[in-house]
Amino acid sequence: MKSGNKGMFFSLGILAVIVLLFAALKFYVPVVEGKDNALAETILVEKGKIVNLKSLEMSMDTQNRLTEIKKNLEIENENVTRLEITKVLDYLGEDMSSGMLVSEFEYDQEKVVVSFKADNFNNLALQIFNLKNSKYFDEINIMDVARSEEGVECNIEMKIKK
Amino acid sequence: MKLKFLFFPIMLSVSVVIFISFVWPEINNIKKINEDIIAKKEELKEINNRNAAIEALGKELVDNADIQNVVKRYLPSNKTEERIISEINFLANDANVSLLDISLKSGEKAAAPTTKNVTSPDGQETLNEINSLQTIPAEISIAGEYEKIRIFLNNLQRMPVFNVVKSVKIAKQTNETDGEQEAEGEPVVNNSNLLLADVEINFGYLDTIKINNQKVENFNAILDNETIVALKKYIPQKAQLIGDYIAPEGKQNPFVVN
Repeated sequence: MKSGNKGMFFSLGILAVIVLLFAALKFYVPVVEGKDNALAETILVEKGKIVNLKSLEMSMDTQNRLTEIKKNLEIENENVTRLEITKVLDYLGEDMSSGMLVSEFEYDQEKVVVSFKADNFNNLALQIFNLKNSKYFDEINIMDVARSEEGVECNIEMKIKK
Repeated sequence: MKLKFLFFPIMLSVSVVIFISFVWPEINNIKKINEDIIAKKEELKEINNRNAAIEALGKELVDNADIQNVVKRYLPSNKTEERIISEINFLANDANVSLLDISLKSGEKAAAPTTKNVTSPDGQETLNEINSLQTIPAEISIAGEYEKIRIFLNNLQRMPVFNVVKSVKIAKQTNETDGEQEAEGEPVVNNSNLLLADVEINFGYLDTIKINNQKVENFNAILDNETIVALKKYIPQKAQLIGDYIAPEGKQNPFVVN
């Protein structure tokens, strides 16, 4: 009889604990939800504050400009590595053989077209050989060769080695 | 007695059913909300850190006003035709070449945008709608001796305004052009070393950035000091340019026979 009562109270006790737990949870859920919502609001406010920061606009604008400058000047290890026209002219001077002169030079980022004048075909051939073995130019394309009153004229198109 | 004996398992079963049906979902719900709170706290911490980093970067820029001056002067936020004309004229005088013509055209947007366009989930392009590099194309004609044209071209590329040289054409001045000049009443100097150079160059400017939340999220609050140092070294310090000049190997002037 006593053990029957014990079992009944025990099972009622478990039920009571579960019901109490459920009631406590029902009370606790809105509290944590409120905390969550408050945090979400704080995040929104903080984000809004960042967007309105004057220093952000200044910093982002400066960085944006620096990105464009870096891309254009091809900056590597604090040095500008973009190709300079004077370098192309120097390369050409380095590859010129004697008895040759340039009458016209055209550069357009992709390629260089040079009109050469030579005393004779021999000098021109040597010049073409020099360009074909150049450290600076490749894809040498002889556009035309013609004899004129002043000697031999030749137009050569070439690309600058990267 | 029998009822009392059955009461325990029945109540236990009811308790289990109540636990599974009502209590456990609530526990899961709280677990989920707590995870959400932890994530939000992390996000808030990140926002605060970013905020502090932005403030620090802003302070650095204010304290070192010359950084902003150099950068904004090199890549301005609006067209500066007057500066471009004045600088080119100065460079021509400085290099001792004749500035025959400067022609500036109306600006155009550069093909490549400043940053990649980012498409939001609803399909709208949200970044960089208007903030891209714009250019002022210019054509410059000069006449002078090879060495002087070389100095002009060198200084033109190092001009303290964002520029991209599109093309350069250098040719010997022919009798035909001498004739044209004579007809226009310009004095003709009969000099076989005189060259004509036509340069097509684009000068750039960039609108002030428009900030939105996505840009802020992608923002890295570290100043690119490498570019600043390189830019300061690159834009002209006249004395330095002369000092840095190293005569090229081979022919000094490819337009004359040696």
